[in-house]
Amino acid sequence: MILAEAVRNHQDQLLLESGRRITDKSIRIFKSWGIRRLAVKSGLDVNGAEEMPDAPGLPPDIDAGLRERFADVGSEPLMNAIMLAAGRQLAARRPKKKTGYARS
Amino acid sequence: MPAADLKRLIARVEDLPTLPRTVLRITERVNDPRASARDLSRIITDDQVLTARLLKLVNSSFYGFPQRVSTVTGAIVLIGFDAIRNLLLTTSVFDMFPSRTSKDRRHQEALWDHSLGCAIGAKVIGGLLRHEKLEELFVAGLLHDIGKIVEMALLPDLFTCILTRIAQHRVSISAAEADILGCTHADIGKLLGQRWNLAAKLIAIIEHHHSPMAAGPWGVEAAIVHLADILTRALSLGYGGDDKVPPLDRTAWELLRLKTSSLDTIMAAMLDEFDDIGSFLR
Repeated sequence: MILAEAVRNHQDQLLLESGRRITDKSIRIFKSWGIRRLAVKSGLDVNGAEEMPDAPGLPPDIDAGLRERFADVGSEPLMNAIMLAAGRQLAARRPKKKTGYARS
Repeated sequence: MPAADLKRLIARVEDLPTLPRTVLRITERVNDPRASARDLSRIITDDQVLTARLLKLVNSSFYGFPQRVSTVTGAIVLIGFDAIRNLLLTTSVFDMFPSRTSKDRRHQEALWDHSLGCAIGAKVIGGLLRHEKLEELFVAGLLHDIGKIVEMALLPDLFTCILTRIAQHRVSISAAEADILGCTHADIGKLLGQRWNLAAKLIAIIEHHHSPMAAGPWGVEAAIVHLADILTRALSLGYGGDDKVPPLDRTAWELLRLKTSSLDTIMAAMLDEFDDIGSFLR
C-alpha cells in the first residue's frame, strides 16, 4: 500500500511522507502513536493500469452486450474494470444448463 | 418545439404535479416538533396503499430487522420520521405520472427498474463507505432520473423525438435532450425538486448526478449516486433511456476512495437486493 497523505503524530511531527510504501514496521510506529486510520492510494499504478485478476471467458451474449454498452468508455482502465466485474457478476447468475446423461 | 419555447414552458412549473395530499400531510407532521409517532401513524393508516408499502418495506431485507413489524406506529419508531417521509415520497412519485399507452407504461417500468437499481447501488456503496444516512442515498437514487418521467408524461412527442435521435445517432440521452429540449433530465429533475420543496441536498444530487463534483457540499453523496447509476447501467438493470454507460468522473471515484477490487462485491449485492426489494415497490 502507498500512502495517499503524509502521516503526522499529535505534535504534527512527520512520521511518513505521502507516496511512501507502508511496511509492517511503519504500521507498528503508527499504532504506537495512536494512529488508527490512514489514507492510502487506490490499486492503480502510475500509468493507470489496473492489476486485475484474469477474467474467465464470458458467455458471448453477455460479452457482446457489455462491449456495446461500454463502447465509448471501455478503453479507460477504470471503466474496463467495471465492465469486467459486471460481466463476472452477470455470468455468475446465469442459470446453468442441465446436462443430459445416459441412463445405464 | 423551439428550445426557447420549451424553456419557457418548463420554467412555468404550473404544469408539474404537486405531491399527493397524504404525502404533504405527512411532511407537515414530520416537520412539526410536537408530532408523535401516533400522529403520523393516523395519517398513514388512512391510506391503505401507503400502509401496505411501508410495512412491506420495513419487513424486507432493506432494513433486515430480526422480527416482523406489524404496525405502522412500530415502523415509524424503528426507522424514524425522516425515513418515513422520504420513503413514502419516493414510492408515490411514479404513481403521479400515469402512462397513456402500453408503450409508455413499458418505458416507465423500465425506467423505474433503472431507478431502483441506482437506489440499491447507492445504498450498497454507502454501506461500504459507512455513510450515516443510507436511506437518504436510497431515496436520491430512486429520484435521480425523475426528470425523464416528466419528459415521458408531459412532453410525450418530444420524448419520442429524443428516443429516435438516440437510436439514429447512437448518442446518450443527455446529448439528445440537449439537442431537442435545450436542457437535460437533470435540469428538469431539479425544477421538479424545487416545485416539491425537496431538501437542497436531494435537489443537488438530482441536478448533478452526471457531474457530481458540481454538487458543492454534497459531492460525496452525488458521487455515490453517480457511481451507482453507472453500475446499474453496466448490469443492465432496467433502462435509463439509452444503451450507453457514461464515463465515471475520475475525481468522484477518487473522492469515494474505493478500490476496483470492491466492484464485484458491490455489484453482487446490487443484483441480490434488486430482486428482493423490487417486488415490494412494483
